[in-house]
Amino acid sequence: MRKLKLAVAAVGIAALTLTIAAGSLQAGAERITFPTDFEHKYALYGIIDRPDLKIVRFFYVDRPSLKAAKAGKPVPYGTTLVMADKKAKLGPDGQPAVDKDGRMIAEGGWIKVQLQKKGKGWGDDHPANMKNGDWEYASFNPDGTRIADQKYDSCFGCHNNRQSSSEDFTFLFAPYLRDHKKS
Amino acid sequence: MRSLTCALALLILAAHGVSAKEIQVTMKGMKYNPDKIVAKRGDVLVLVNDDTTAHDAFVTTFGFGVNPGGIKPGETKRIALMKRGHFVVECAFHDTMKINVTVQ
Repeated sequence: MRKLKLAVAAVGIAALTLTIAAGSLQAGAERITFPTDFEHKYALYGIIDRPDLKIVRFFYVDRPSLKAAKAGKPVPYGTTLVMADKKAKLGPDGQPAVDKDGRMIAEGGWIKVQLQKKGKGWGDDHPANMKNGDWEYASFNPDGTRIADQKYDSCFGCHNNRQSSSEDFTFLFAPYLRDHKKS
Repeated sequence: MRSLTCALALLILAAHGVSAKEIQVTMKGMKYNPDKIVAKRGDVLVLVNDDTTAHDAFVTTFGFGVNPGGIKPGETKRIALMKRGHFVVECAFHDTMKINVTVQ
């Protein structure tokens, strides 16, 4: 009987250890998975020219979250924001070419895909000075593989400049909602 | 880069008899000055950082988005106004700094 109790305890401890290990694997960027085919499944809510980097950045959001936020509800848990980069077309001088509206012209496929996702309680993993509400960040190669050894301090640091409730740690999404909310 | 773009824009507009101008905006004391601008298509915003800390000029308005990158103290960056409409320029680092721009 005693042996049986010890065996049960050992199994319990092993299960607990596995659970904790799995939980730690799901912390931070690992919580976020790559949204396959985002450019078709998600809604475009912004394009930013970056002449200094010679890239054009495209911003997408999952449609259910956009619908909820447009209806005036708080940006829901599960909201996934995508920032995907393409190279800018260059002119003969090696600088970005622009169209008649002065907009840079993207060319080729994605070169980097970065995500910002909101999950209930996710912010609890971070110290107060490095916490963006319940948002997390993750960076991927265009094929969906994670970018190895990516540091996210700069993501948290920069987005922390938009911590008011009306901005919710976003630079483009909050202004987009203000301009496009259903009346 | 933007200087070339701006120069081209000015040349094109000059060829069409449109007078474009440079509109200087200073960054000082955590403020843009001026913070309301009415411009004409082809004008150029010249953003001068006279402050003691870095700023930028991030246009987040849908359809007008551009960010020329950080502007250190003493640096200048330009944004050519080639599209009509209204947009907001803001500093990514300091959320109280904003410019309302209308391009006619």
